[in-house]
Amino acid sequence: MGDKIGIFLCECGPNIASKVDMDRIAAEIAGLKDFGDKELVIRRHKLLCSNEGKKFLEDEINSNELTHMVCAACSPREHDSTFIGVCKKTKLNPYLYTMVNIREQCAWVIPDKEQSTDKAVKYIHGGMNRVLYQEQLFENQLDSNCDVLVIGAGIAGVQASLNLASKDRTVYLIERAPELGGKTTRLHGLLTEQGSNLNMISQKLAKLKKNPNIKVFTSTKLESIIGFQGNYEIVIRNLVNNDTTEFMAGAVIVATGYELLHAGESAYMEFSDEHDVHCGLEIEALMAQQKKVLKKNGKTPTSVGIIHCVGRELSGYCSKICCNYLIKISSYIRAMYPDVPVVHYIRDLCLPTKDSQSFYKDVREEGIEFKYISGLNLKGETVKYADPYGTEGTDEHDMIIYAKSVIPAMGTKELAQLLNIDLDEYGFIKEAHLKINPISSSNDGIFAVGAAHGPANVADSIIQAKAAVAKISTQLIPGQKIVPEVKVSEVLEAYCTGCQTCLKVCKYGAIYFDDAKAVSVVNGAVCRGCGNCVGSCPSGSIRSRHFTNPQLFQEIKEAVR
Amino acid sequence: MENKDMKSAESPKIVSFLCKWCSYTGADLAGINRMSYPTSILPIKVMCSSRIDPVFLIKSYLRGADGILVGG
Repeated sequence: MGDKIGIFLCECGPNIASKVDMDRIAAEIAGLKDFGDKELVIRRHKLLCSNEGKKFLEDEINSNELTHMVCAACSPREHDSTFIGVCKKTKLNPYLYTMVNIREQCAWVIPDKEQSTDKAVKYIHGGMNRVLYQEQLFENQLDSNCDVLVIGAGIAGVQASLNLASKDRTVYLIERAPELGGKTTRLHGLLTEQGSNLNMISQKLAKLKKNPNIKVFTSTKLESIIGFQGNYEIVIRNLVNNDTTEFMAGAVIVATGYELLHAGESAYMEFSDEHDVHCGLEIEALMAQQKKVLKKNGKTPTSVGIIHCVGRELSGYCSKICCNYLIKISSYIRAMYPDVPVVHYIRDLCLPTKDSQSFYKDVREEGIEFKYISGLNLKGETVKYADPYGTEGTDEHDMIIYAKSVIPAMGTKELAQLLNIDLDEYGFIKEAHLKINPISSSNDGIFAVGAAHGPANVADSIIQAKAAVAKISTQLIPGQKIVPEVKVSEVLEAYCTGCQTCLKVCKYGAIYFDDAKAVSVVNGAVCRGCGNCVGSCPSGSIRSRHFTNPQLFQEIKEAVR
Repeated sequence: MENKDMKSAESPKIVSFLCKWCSYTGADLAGINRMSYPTSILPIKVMCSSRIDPVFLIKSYLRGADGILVGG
């Protein structure tokens, strides 16, 4: 049976039809010499993506028994999947169809109608050549596991576990520390709702313990993980007795939180253990235990200095949460000791949340002083500072509270290596896209929430945890199979020399080396089809399905004709 | 290459390899904003600019391309 190519020209209402000469396109395509021996079915339609258009397409494919199809319409970003859906209803394999973008990259960028028509013809000609070199591809379905591994039982991990666990979905929550709750359990109050924090976290932990679908492992770390979204084989190890546990999961949420930079690393902070110099988190712990801020000798402080941004010059970024919590701490002190002077030393003030500005105003009205400085030196409890105009000053305090930079949690680097995900320049887990995909990592199926991504407060952590829950709930549906991408790379074993260049360039860890055969093998379920391995294979033994060299050569041929 | 005809010099043939995720989307955006560029630029979509084999560039030049744009 000869090839029968269907070429469908979409007018897209007036969008395409008014900018290119549809009749001339149809006539020129019908007259193409190199397609003289092929049977062409050329059709025009007002709007192929409409329900009527889809039905028209389906009927045309069936009645003409098309072997290949080219749709000249808008960008594939808009309606490629629409036309693939139509193909799936017919006998035509969806990978024997191609889409030519004559709207965004033709009609809309060339004001001259004649030139625009010329380009459209050329573009469609390229698509027709390409489609003849395309191959049938078949999607396969894989069983997927819907369980989730959550790493880190701080507020973000706990929230994600609570929202994810259901009778169809088991959550494995692992925590390196012996206790659950993370740093949030050490906070006395949350901004603007002080005092309610311990209550909030303990309620969540109680719910967590009661939930039969959450399996909690404390003093435990991730030992190994292999697989891909929907199918991870996971081994965890108990740090106390070295016992290992194995299970399967479909997704991973990293909620490893943060650490604080050691203040001693900032040269301008000189103090020893005898001095009453405390970091914000220590004061929170003190408040949570004793409900009072006292000096180390048990006496009431008479003058408190609060230093912001310690270590920012080393970390290189704003830690986002510190201004808020230091102001919160000064409000504790004001409530306890109405007459004790409190001075904040600030280089910048970062108050991004909607309630923090009014909170800041309130504490200022209560007589808490804010001094803008350009630099300072702390010796014991004495602050020497310079204001932005260069005027120097010295303040004696008997208690200093400071905020240290938020840095990635210990072991983040090792964990990222195990999970094969990227870190950003500061060592936090890198977002798939900072703005449009902020909770995904560079690896499908692995999500990061809370301070694992960068400084985050309790509210941010909860929002991110819930966002990851929403993503996982829609991607891993109990009982539903997953369909891996078919436009992936494949190794032609006969040509592979075993140099393993591809293993080095694959960002997704989708290629492994088969020692017995001494060839590379692509795991199709992990491969994203970028083709990095194809371009770098010295022996040309890797093919990129649907983007093979012959297919692209056909397009090049038309581009330079 | 000296005997290139004038027509080619006036509107150079530029083969552009555009990454599906970024520059192909950018080319679409150029259309949405009704910007204009010469007719002789014909985009070729690839899954990633790293997919581009040096052979593509050589083939393009051998077949008469005046320039190549790799967007990624």
